[in-house]
Amino acid sequence: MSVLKADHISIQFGGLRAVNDFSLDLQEKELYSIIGPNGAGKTTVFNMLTGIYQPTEGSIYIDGKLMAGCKPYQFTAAGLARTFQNIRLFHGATVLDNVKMAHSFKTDYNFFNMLTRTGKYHSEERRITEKSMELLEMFDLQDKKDFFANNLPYGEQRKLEIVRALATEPKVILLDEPAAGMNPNEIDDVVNLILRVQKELGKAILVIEHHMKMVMKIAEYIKVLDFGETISEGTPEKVQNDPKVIEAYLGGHANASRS
Amino acid sequence: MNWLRKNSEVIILPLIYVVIFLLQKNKILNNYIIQIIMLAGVNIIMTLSLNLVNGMTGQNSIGHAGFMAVGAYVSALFSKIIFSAATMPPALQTVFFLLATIAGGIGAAIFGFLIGMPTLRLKGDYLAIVTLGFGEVIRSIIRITPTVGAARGLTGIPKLASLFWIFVFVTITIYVCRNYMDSAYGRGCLAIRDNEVAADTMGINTSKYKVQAFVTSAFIAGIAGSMYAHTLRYLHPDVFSYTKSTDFLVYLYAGGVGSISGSILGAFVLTALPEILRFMNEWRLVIYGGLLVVIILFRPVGMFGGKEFAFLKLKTGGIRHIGFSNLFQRKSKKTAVANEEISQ
Repeated sequence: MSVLKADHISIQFGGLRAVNDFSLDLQEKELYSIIGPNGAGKTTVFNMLTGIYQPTEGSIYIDGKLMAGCKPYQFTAAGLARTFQNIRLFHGATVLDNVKMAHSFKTDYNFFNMLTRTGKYHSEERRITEKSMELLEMFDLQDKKDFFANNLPYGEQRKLEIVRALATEPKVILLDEPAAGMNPNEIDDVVNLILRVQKELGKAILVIEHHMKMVMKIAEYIKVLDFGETISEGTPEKVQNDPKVIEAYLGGHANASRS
Repeated sequence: MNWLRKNSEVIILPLIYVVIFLLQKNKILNNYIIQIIMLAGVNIIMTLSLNLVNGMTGQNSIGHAGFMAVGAYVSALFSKIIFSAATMPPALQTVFFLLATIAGGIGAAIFGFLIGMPTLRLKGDYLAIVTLGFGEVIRSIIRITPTVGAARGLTGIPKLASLFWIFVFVTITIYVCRNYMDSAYGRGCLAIRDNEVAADTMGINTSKYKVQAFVTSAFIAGIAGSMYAHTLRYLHPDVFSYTKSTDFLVYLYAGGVGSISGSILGAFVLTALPEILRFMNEWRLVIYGGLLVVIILFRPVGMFGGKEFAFLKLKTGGIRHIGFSNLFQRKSKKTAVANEEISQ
């Protein structure tokens, strides 16, 4: 079943067509990747898929639901979570609170219950804390639950961002350059983490990444963007040998660079 | 002792009241000191209300005295003109006093909603501009309205507030703020404060959460206004000027923005301090100002920033990082640069 579907979406900023006719159909438990040179429009595609920009043409479906005119928080409620290229944690809060904050919109007590601590307040708070701890334990962050988020090492901040995204119980996760600024060891950790999220938790994943080795290792299907156009798509082997892709990355004529 | 520790959140504040009450009964505290304690209570309620917006949600309301004015005038009119409460039996007076207080709160909350609804949908500092204007507009409207005494001020408000009632409302406010912060609603607001874009993608309806916090804050400010009116028995529009709003901001930031304990402490200490320093005559304001500079230099997050009294049993918290927190610390410069490099 399709969890995330983009149907020929385009976006225009004044005279500039940043992304043209982009389509995507992500099924359950699949791992797709979007690659492309700098300025190709990858992050713009992400911003459209998460509701930050509205596409000027085309439509987006999450879990079969049409998302036209919806705000980002409605995208999250429909089953989509994302991480950011430059980490955006709630840096003034502890690690545990960061994960608990992602549960906010699924809490089953009202404003009056909250002010007076009646109704389901106590049971819901307990449930949220337990669930958050479960997630932190799953990714070995339980010992650092009382650290402030901005005191974590860089790699663990990335990890926490993924954990926080998982806390919204999404069907599909969008990762924006999860390996940016990492050394080879840390990249291996990220690869394992992503594969665990996909295999163990059964989430569909869409990754933007510059690190080719990593993309070729994890992605099942790759879409290549250049100047807003989809220039190539397919399995990693197919994309790797596509002359158009090589031209986009290395420049010059495809034939010259092939030889 | 064990029982006390378990129930510390419901015991401590009434205990403080009993102590003050006994001191008052035995003539150790005179009326002047009691009056200052009552005003400090009003300021504590105001600072806690401001903390919901500035500390917890990370929005900037800099005209909060405007909401206090609305609450004060609405409740004073309620008890003075409509009910003429001064000639009633005491039990009935108390009931009408509580009704008047709630009416004041609701009046302020309505204005909070009208202001918050359009401005809080935007990201950025628009709320600061609009609340600043609102405070001045309310003051000007009161100045030209004859029914509320215009520029002469509103006199003859019955003295209904007592140390007891102020203590009751301070206690309720502290618990409400504690419960707010320690819930999904409060965590949503904290998320907005720390990173609004990320909060949005974590499923938090940011404008709704911001308006909720702002309206709650305005309601509490209205209640503080009612307490103020029924304590001093005289209201003048110029009391609720921009200077008054600034006072509350000073209490909040010196006490520790984002911290409930900090708000309580800041409001209490900085209300009492000018009175304690009264023997120094004109030098007291110099000392007062100097103390604020010292606090901001050596503890930019405020006296209690990032800390809470244990008896409140707060589980959620954190520090609001205000812009100039790194300004005076030379050692943190390097890490700030490193952080910037990473984020690029």
